Amino acid sequence: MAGTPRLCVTNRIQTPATVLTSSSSQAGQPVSRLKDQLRSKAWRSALGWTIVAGFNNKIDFNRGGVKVATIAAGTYATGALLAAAIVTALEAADATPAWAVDYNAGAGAYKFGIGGDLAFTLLWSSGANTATACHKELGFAVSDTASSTWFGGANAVYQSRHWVKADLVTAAEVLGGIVVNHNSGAGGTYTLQGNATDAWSSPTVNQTLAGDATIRIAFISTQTLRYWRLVIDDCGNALGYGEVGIWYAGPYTQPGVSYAIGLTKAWEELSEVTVAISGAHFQDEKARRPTWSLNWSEILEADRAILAAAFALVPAGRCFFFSFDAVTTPTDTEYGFLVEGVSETLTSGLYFDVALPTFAGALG
Amino acid sequence: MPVPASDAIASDVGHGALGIRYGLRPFRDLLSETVGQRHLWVEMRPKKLVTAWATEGGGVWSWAVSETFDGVVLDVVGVRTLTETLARVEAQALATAGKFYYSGTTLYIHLMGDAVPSATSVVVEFGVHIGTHGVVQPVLGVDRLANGSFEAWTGAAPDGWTVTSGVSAGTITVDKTTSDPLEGSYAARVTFAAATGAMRIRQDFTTLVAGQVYRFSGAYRITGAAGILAAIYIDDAGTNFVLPDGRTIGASTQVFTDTSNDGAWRRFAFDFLCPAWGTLRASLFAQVVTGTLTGTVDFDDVRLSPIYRFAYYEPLLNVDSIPTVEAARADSFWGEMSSALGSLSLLNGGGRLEPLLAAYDWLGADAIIRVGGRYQLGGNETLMDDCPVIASGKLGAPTVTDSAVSFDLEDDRKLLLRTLPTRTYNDNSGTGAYQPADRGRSRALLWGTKTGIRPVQYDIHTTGGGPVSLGSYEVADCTDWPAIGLAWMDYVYWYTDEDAALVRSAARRVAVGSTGASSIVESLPTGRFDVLHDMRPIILTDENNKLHFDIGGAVLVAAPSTTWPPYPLSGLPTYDPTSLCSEITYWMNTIAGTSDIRCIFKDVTQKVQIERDSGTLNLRCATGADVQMGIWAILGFNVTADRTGSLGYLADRVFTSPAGDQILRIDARGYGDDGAGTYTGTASAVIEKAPDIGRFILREILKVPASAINLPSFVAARTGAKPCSLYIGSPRTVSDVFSELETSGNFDFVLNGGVWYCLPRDTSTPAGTPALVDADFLSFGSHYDPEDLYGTVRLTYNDAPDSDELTEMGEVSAAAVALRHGRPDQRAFATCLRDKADATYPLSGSRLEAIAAQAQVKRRRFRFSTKGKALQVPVGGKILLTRSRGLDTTGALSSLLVRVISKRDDWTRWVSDVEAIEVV
Repeated sequence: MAGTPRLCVTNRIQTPATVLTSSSSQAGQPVSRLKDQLRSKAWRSALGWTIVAGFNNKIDFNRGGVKVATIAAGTYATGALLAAAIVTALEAADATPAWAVDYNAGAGAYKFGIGGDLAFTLLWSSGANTATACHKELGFAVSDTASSTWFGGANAVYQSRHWVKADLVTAAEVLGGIVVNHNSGAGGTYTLQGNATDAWSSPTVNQTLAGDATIRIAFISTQTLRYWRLVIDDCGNALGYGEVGIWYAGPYTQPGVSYAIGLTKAWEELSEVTVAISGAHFQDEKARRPTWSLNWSEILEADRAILAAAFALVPAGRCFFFSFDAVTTPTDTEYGFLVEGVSETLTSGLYFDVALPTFAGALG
Repeated sequence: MPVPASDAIASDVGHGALGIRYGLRPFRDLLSETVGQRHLWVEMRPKKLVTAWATEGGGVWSWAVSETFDGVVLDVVGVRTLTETLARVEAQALATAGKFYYSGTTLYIHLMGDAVPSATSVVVEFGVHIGTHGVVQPVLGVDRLANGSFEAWTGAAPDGWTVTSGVSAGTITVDKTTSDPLEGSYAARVTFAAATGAMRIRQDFTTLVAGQVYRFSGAYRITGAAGILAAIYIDDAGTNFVLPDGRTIGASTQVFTDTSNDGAWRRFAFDFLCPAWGTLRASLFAQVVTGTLTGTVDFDDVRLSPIYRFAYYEPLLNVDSIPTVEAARADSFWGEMSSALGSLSLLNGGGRLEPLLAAYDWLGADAIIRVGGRYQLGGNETLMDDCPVIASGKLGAPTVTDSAVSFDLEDDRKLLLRTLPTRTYNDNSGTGAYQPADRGRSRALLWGTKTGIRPVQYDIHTTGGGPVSLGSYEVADCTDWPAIGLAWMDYVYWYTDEDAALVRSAARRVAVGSTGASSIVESLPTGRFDVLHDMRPIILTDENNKLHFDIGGAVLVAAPSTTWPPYPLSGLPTYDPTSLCSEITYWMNTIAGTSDIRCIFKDVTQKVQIERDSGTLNLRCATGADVQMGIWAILGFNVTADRTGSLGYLADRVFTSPAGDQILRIDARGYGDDGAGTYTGTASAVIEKAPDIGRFILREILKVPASAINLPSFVAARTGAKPCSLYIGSPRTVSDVFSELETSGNFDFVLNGGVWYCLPRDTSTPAGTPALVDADFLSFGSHYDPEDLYGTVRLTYNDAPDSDELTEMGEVSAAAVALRHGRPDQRAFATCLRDKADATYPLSGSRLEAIAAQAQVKRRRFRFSTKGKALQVPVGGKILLTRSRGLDTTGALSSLLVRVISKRDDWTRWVSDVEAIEVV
C-alpha cells in the first residue's frame, strides 16, 4: 500500500455557513444531519417518490401532437399514489384519451405501466423536457417508445431520484466528493454536481462518484463554485428511500511524497470476555476498530508544512478522510480520526520525519 | 479495507424501510447465548409546561410545536395534566376526550370533559433517544390487537380473534398451549392431524389510519412434518392484499411464508403503510399445502402498533455508566421491597446537550431503558418490538460537565415508598375537616367489608332549617374512583360514648341502615353521607322512662318499654328499632285509652312536641309522682312546672346535639367494581381480593398506566384468593400495604421490565424458568440464614379500623425449631384477610398453616453471579440450579428450584448477581 495519499480535511458541507437543502427528508433525519461527523447520523429522503419541479416532473408524449404532462410536485409514498398523480397530469395535458397508469403491473414486479384508450408515444429521449423527465422514477429507459396504447416500465422501481444541495454562500474550491454510509449497496449512482448558480440544467461539474457499498468517491480538477449538489439515482433500491451518512465536498491535501514503508494496521478489540468458574467464557461482541500508524520519512520542509497545515485542521477526534492511494485505488479511503497528535522530527538540516501514530477508523 | 458502516445494525427493514423481516430469533434466546452483541436503547422524556393553546373546536386544542434539537423537531411522546395522562392516536379525527395527536408540527389535545387547557396545567413530554449504537428505530405506539398475547381464552377460542379453517383432509384444530410459550402462560396452537388445509386466526380493524405506518409483529413456531407453513396476511377482508414491500397493494399474497420446522420460536415484523380500506384484516395463517401432514404451528406475542416516527438513537450512552438494576426483599418472606437504578451518563462532546437540558424540565422526567442485541456471526438483531424494557424510572437532576451529562435514576419501584392514603383533610385542597382533631388526618381508603369505621365530618348539614347543624361525613376517599365509589354502606351507628364505639356495643348504639332515608342521605360514588337527624341512642331504664300526664282526670303514667334496644328519638328508617317518639305515642294512647295523642319531633325547631287533636292534655313534668324518674329531661322539657292549658306542648330545649358530640361508626363495603367488572371479573362486585386490591392501587391511586400492568397474571392470581378487608386510615407506605396483601394472598407483586406482575408463590416450575448449569456461574456460594426460621408464627387479620388493640390473630408454635436450630423466636405476619377460617382457624388450610410451613423449615440460600440467563428473572421469580458442587446431601445440586429474593443486574457486563432461597 503506497502511492498517492490525499487528506480530505476541509469538508465544506460541514462548514457552519453552508446552507443545506434536499429534495425531501424524513422528520427525524433532516438534511442538517450531514453537518455532523457521526456516520450513523444520516440524512434520509422521504419514503417513495418525491416529485420536484425542474427535476423530475415532466412527461413528454405525442398523442395527436407533442404534449407535456406536468406531475404535481410532492411526495408520493406509494406507487399507486404516484400513478394517480400521473393520470391527473396526463388528463390535464390531453383530456381526450382515457388514461390509465398503474404500479406493479406484473405480479410482484413493482413496475409502472402507462396507457390510454388511444395510441400515443412517450418522448423520453426527444422530448423538450428530457432533462426534467421522470422516466427514471417510472423505470423507463431513456428512449422514445413506438406508438401504442400501453407501455410497461422496464425496471422495478421503489423510489424517485433524490438530491442534496449545498450553498457554500461564497464560491469555494472543491477537488473531490466522497459519500459514506449510503444505503445503495453496490447499485445506484451518486453524482457530484457543481455550479456557479443554483441552476442545474447543465452544471459545470457533473461527476459520477465511483465505488461500492461502503464508499463512493471521485476526485476532480479544481473548481471554485458556490453551489454543489449530490444527485442520488437509485430508483431500483427496494428500501424506498435514499440515505447518506457523510457527504464530503472539498479540497484535498497531497504531499509531494507518499508515506514511508512500514505502514501498520492494527485492530482494536472492543469486545469483552468474561470467564466463568468452570473456565467457560462469554463474549460481549463489539466492533473491531481498525487503526493505522504511518509516517512520512525524510520529507522536505514544503511537504512538512503541507502536512502540518492539514493536520492542524483535524485535532484529535475530528473526523477526516484519508485516501491511501487516491490515484490507483481511490476506494482505499478511510474515514477516521487522530487519537493523538502528529509529531515532526527534524532528521537533518533539510529533512523531516512526520509521524502519524494512530489514525483510528470512525465507527457507528 | 474500508471500515464497515456499523458493527450492529443496518439501515433497512425495521429501521425505516417498509417490508417484512421474519425467521428472526427472539431476544429471549439471546440471553442464553455465550456470544452476541448487546444493545441498550434509552428514551428520555423531558417536559415542558405549555400554555399557548389555540382552540380547534369540539374540545380540541392545538399548539404549534417548534421545539428542536439537532435540527430535528422533537417528537411529542406524551401529554399529561394534573389528573390525566392522554393516550396518543394516529389522526386528529381520533383525538377524542383523553387523547392527543401529534402531526409532526402541531400537537392536538382533547382533555376529558372537554376541559380547557388554561384551566389546568398541561405538560408536554418530548422524546430524546440515545443508545449504545447509532441507529434509527421506530417509536411504537400502543398495541391495537386484542389478546395478542393469547392469554385469554373461552374454551378453545382465543378471545378477540376470529378463527376460520378450510380442511381438505384430516383435522385441523386451534387451542391454547402451555408448552413453552414465548411470553405469558399460553400460546395459540394450530394442530394438524394427518391434515391438508389451513387455519386462519384474524382480527379486523376499521379505525386504523390510512397513510400511517404500522408494525404487525409476533412470533411463530413450527413443529412436525416438513411442509407445514406459517404465514401472515394483511388484507381488506379478502380482495386486496398488502404485498411484502409494505406499500404496494396486489392480489392474494402472503407477506411471508416459513416452513422451518425446527420447533424453535421465530419472530416476524412487518412494517406497512396502511391502505385506505374500510376494514383492515390482520391474519395469522397456518397451512399444509400438499400431502396430509401432522404437526403444529404456534403463535404468541402478536402485536399491531402504529409507528409514530423513526427516531435516531444517538450513540451517546457512556458504556461505563449504564445503570444497574437492583431489587431486593427485606427477608425471604414478604418483607418490604427496595430497589435502586444507579445513574445514566451521556457523552457531551462539543457542549451540544446544554441547550437541550436548559430548555426543558428534566427532573422527574421519565426514562425508559430497553435492551436488545444481535446474534453472533451476522445473526439477526432483535427489532424494537422485541427489545424488552429492563427498567423505567424517573430522571434526577442532571449534572453537566464539559464531557458528560449524568442523571441519577429513580426506579419506578420507588412508588413503593409513596404513602397511602394520598390525601388529607385540609383547608387548601377542597376537603377540610370540620372538627379540629381531624384536620390533617388522612382521607381513608377502603376495600372489602369493614366494620366500625369512624367517618370524618367534612361539612355541616342542616335539616329543615333547624337551629343546630348536623354533619356531612366521609367514610372513604373516592376521589380516585368517582364513578362508582363505595359498593355499599351497610349501617351507620350512633353510639352512646367512645367506649361503646370502641367495643362496638350493640346494647349502646342505634343502627341506621343505609336505606334509612329519614336519617341519612348517602352518596356511594363519593363515599359520603349527610346526617338528617340526631340518632343519638337513648337508653331507657326504670329510672328514666316515666311520663306523667292527664287528659282531664287522674294523672296517668306512660312508661315506654325498657326492653328495646337503645332508642333513637325519631325517624323510622327501615332497619331502625321503633323510635322513642313512636313508643311514647303508643304508650300515652294505650294508657289514656285514646288514639289522638302524638309525640313528635319537629325538624324546624329540633324539639319534641307532645300534642292532642282535641279534649284535654296536660303534661305533669313537675308534679307527677316519682317525677325524678321521668323522661322529661331526655325529651327537653323543664321539670320546674307542669305544662297545662293547651293541646300541644313544645319542649323547652332542642334535642339535637352538635355533630361533633355525636359518636358515629360505619359498617361499609369498600370500593365497588364497575359494570364491566374491571377489577373483579364481576360487574359491581366488591373489590376485596388481594390481587384485585393491588391492581386497583396501582391503576387508580398510583396512576400506573394499564400498559404497565400484566393483567393476565393478576386475573390468574384472583382464582382461589380469599376476601380481604383493608382500611387505610393512617399513613402507610405502598410497600407496607403490598407486603400485607402479598402475605394475605401468597403471591409477589413484581415490577419486571416496567410491567407489574402478580406472581403466585408455589412450588411449580413455570415455563421458561432459566436453568443454570456449571458453566453459567461466574461465582457461587450457599448458606443458611437464621432469619428464615421461627419457632412461633403469629398471623393477624381483619384489624380494626380505629384501634390496633382489636386486631384478630392466631398463632402456631413448633418446639422442635428451637430444639434443632436454637430459634425460639417469634415472627408476626400481618394480613388483611377478612375471615378467621381463611386466616387462622381451623389451622388446616389456613394462611397461618401455610406460612408456618415455610417459617419452620430450614431452607438453603444461594448467592451467585451468572451471565445472561437470569437477567430477566425478577425478585420473586424462579431459577433452576444444577451444579456439580453444592449444599446438598449428595454434594451436588440437580435442578433445584429457588426463588430470587434479591438481585443486581449489570447490563453493561450482562451479569446478574442473585440471592435466592430454595422453594419448599
